[in-house]
Amino acid sequence: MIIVQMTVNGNPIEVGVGDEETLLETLRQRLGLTGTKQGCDLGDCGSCTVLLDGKPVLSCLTLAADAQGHEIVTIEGLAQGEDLHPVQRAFHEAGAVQCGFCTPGMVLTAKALLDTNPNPDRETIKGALSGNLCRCTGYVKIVNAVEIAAKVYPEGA
Amino acid sequence: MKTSSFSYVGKALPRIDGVAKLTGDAQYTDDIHLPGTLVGKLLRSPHAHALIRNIDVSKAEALPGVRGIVLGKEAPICFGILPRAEDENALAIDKVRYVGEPVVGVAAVDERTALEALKLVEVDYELLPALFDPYEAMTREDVKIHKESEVANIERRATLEFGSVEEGFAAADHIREDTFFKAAITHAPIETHVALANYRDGKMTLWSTTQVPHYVHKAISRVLELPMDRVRVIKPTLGGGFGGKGEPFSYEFVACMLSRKCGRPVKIVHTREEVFMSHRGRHPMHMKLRTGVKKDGTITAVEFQNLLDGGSYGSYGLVTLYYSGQLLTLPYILPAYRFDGVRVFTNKPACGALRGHGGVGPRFAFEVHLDRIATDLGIDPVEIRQKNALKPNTMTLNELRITSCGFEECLEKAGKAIGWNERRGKLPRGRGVGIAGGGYVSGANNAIYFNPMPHSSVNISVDRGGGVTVFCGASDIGQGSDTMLALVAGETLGIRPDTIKVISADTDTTPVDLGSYSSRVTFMAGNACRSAALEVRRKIVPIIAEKLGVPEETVQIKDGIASAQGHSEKTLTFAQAVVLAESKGTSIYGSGGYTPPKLGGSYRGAGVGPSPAYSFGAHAAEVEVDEETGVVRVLKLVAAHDLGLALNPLAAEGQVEGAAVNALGEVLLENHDITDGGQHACPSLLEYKIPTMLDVPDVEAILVESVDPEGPFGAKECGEGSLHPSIPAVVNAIYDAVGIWLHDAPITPEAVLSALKKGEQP
Amino acid sequence: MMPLPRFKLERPQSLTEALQLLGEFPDALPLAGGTDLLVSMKQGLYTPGRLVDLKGLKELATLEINPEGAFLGAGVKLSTIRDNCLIRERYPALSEAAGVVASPNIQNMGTLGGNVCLDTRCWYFNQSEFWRNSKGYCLKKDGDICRAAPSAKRCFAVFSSDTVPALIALGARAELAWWDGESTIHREIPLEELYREDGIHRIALKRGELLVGVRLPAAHGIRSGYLKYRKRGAIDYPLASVAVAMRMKDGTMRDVRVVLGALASSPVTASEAMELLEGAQPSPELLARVTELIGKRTSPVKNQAGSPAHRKQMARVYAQRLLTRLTA
Repeated sequence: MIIVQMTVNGNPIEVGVGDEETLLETLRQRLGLTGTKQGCDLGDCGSCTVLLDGKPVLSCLTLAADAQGHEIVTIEGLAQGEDLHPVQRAFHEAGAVQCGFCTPGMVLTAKALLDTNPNPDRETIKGALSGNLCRCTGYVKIVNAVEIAAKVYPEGA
Repeated sequence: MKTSSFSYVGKALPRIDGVAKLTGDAQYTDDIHLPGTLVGKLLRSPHAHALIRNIDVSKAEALPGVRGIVLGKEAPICFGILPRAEDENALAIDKVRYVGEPVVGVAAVDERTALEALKLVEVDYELLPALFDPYEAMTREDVKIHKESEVANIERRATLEFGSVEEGFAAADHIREDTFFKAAITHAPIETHVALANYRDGKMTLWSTTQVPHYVHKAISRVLELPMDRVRVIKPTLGGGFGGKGEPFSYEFVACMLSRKCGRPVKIVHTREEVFMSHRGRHPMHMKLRTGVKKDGTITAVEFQNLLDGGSYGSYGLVTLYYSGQLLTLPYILPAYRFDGVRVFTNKPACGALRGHGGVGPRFAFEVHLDRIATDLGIDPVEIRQKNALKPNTMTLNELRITSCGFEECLEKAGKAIGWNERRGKLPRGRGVGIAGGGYVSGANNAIYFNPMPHSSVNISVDRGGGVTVFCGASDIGQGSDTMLALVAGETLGIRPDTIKVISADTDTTPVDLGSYSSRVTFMAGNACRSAALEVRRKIVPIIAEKLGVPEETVQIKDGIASAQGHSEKTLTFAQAVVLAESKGTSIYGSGGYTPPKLGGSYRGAGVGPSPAYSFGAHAAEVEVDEETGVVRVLKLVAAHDLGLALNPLAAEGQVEGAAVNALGEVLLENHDITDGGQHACPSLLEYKIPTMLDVPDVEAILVESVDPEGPFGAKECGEGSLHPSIPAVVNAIYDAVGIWLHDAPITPEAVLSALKKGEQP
Repeated sequence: MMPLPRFKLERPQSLTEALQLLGEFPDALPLAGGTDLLVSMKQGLYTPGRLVDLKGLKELATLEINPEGAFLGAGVKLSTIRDNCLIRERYPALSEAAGVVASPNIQNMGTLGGNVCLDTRCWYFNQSEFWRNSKGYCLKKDGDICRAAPSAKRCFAVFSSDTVPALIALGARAELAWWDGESTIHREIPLEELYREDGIHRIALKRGELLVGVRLPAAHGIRSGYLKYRKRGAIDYPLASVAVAMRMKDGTMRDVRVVLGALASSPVTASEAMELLEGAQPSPELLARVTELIGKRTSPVKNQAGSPAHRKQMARVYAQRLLTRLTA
């Protein structure tokens, strides 16, 4: 057991984890944050993406112990109460969600993109989200949603 | 009915479960946690074909942390999605037929212990020769994958003949014959298969990633020998299906068996590799087409032979076989037609239904074949399609009843959007445009098992606060059927759809719907929902009329407020009306069902193909072919789809875009291939190439509205038929770009280079 | 879920401590970004008793770029390499290579050192335990024949790093360190000398030795680029790749380096092509002749997506395109 201190969605957390435990296991099984999805468990699909110090990383290939001292944001941490984050709202209104299984990873990756580049063009959006697989949408409406979110993107959302 | 006369129909409606999915609140099967849940795992066969001589689980049982082990002989009753092909067991009993077939189920306190236990199980196999080539399997009498097969490993041969084929060919000015091969693809939903079973007090509850809770309900009841009322199947939020979760699977039975044995909840989560091995995807099809035409392009006769490589079990295969023959009569008029199809067993994961079921391979072949005929005759590919186009309110020669049909409008719109007249044959070498058509069922007219019951049923209850809840067995698999139900109920009742609750896909609380397959839900559950909502309306309108003191026929409800035409000062909220009704001693509910009209011919095989409505489509692609590398890039794809009426254009576009991109993966990237030892050649999302954002263009979806007379508000299907034409459109565009015809899909850069080098046509 | 096999996680606070751990425990493996090693461990390909976690070691985080050259610490993230303006300006081949590794989110995790020391890959190796057991084990793991080339005596697993061809073309040297029991010993070698044409014993590191970073010479006047062939625009490993670096002087090509990736078990320096190019004036005819020589001595086997012949053909086409671009 290793004791890990980290911030999850703004809350300081101390949790005991196994040496071989991934951050995905810790989030889903110990912390009950099941919004982070497991699609392949091998780093190929992007659905387990979370933000680590603001950068999208794959939680299935991150050891929980390596979250020590870092800030983690999962999909549960984006909305402020009932107010959706602009990326969430845009995904909702633009029809970018179908089955929703890739959605948490997509949304977090898109948020990280807009945090550093609030005005990306379509090609930039596609490049940034290219490691997140979606089998439902054909991607058109996901890219649309990121463009829509960019238009209303506040500083430091 | 015109779209503009609707309050909510025809306007973009975000999904009613969208916010839950965007905040992580939505509960998928693997997100449900019951205290004391054990981890279930399946031991799978490493052999493609072998007899099981003995299974020794004693060492595994002795491992600390193991709570239960189940074997196939504990549940010997067979199951299968089709009553005529019930050829599977929950776990293999005396024989395994493909690499990955489940043999033993283990439940343990955690994942690592369960995996450790699998290693301790000793299975004594006697290896049998394995067959991977369908041509070989067709003739090998000495190797029987299923002993029931009468001839070698042929599951079924299907022949169909309509009109006078010989006369048709005799009357032709030109006859062309081509062969095609379309490889398998698999569904690859991003959520893997998961089941959670909980057996308590003689009752089994199963939460499962299924598209067909009703069929799973029946199958669990039968195989576990529990009465149906002691089994409850719930489909939680589902992370994509595409047909891959469209039938009962081993893991569902095994989770139930283990839970019953251990007295604790058991969850089985498939790894990605297990999803690939479970498969049930597209059948590889070896196809031969022969078509006669007049000089002007009018088709006189078509002959189609199809060899389907079915893999190890029946699955939906008999339906696939017949669909592949029956649906070729869309969307062109065939005056004479002969089909000869065979489905054979091989030692590979079973093939079944996948988005566009049955029609995708034949459509690819026929549309390329048709372009070749047009080229032979010097006719424009759009023109030959217009000339032979099926018309509304007609009957195909195999007795498919065509009502609404917007095929010609689709052709026109797709052609216009791609710039057909200005660009076909006129782009610089390496660039080209192509077009193709298609048509598909809006639900199968016949249920999978014969019964006189409605295909879909809906109950609507109204609570004292005016809240409306729709109950329906329909499975939202991501396509948005819950939102569709809310929309249909809302439009009918005059209540904002986003305020309506939908409870679906729970066999204890929702009336039966057959499930999400054959693109049936909008048409069938939509109609059932409309009928239930009309009953609510019939009950509440008299109460409103009485209260407002106006004639019933003048009552209108919008956004939950009732008023009378011409008396805008008189209003009553829907909630007030409900209270009034209840005070009269009647709670308000409505119930409705949908049963398709009796359709189809009386010949053998006539049961597959009939549908209460058909969608039509035409897709046009622009491609760039790199002649040095052989790499094909799709620059533009226009998908014009006749969906009757777009209930929710936002969702409908999403279906069309998603289907078209699925097709682009299918034509250029994906191949569900099996190695010479029977292992999956690429069982990961790294090696099985579903498209990323960088591999596909922004699909332009064009919704064509032919307004179906029997669809809910005129709607019909849009999520499956919209896959078919993209594949041949790309292949036909490659010909326009560099002058080569490709008859094998997926199209690899190697094949492009080889065809360019040969310069000759297959 | 595919749980990781059990191991003890060591989290050293300094490079010295990390080297000591690696020296002391023969069953220890270094863990950098984890994007390759953890996948292989989940598939049962490696079962180290210990993982020595290099994350956060500041000695590996150095990123120094100056007019005399550059030193890039092994722990620098690929996304940092990709986005760094100076690298993009002076060593574009490296920036381009880092930007096409797997996917952007993996570039946020994976390190330069991890990519430089990336394991070789093969269809018959990079599979689950279940799959390999079913197919039959291979030379690289638990078996005694190469499944891709059964008559051969060696392993043909493919060198799959994107950054290495670029780094070698740019003249990189590898800085290595190990603990000799008393002190840390450093050595520096040309990067190409780190690799062996053997899918199993692919890397010439001593036991317990670690890549500390990569040193690049001054970029003065260097033009460079990297092209990668893969089936999809993201996620995939290379099926063939080419890096080129050169200077142009008086209309002629100088200091030309052409390095191929993913066609053998090690990076391949296209020396015949380089000889022909060195000092010559670029012309379409010359480039066409050079292209013929690309990959001449490589003989890839069927152990990746795509046919071996096509992978070679792609290397040729991409080399020609890259040379055309850089000499324009």
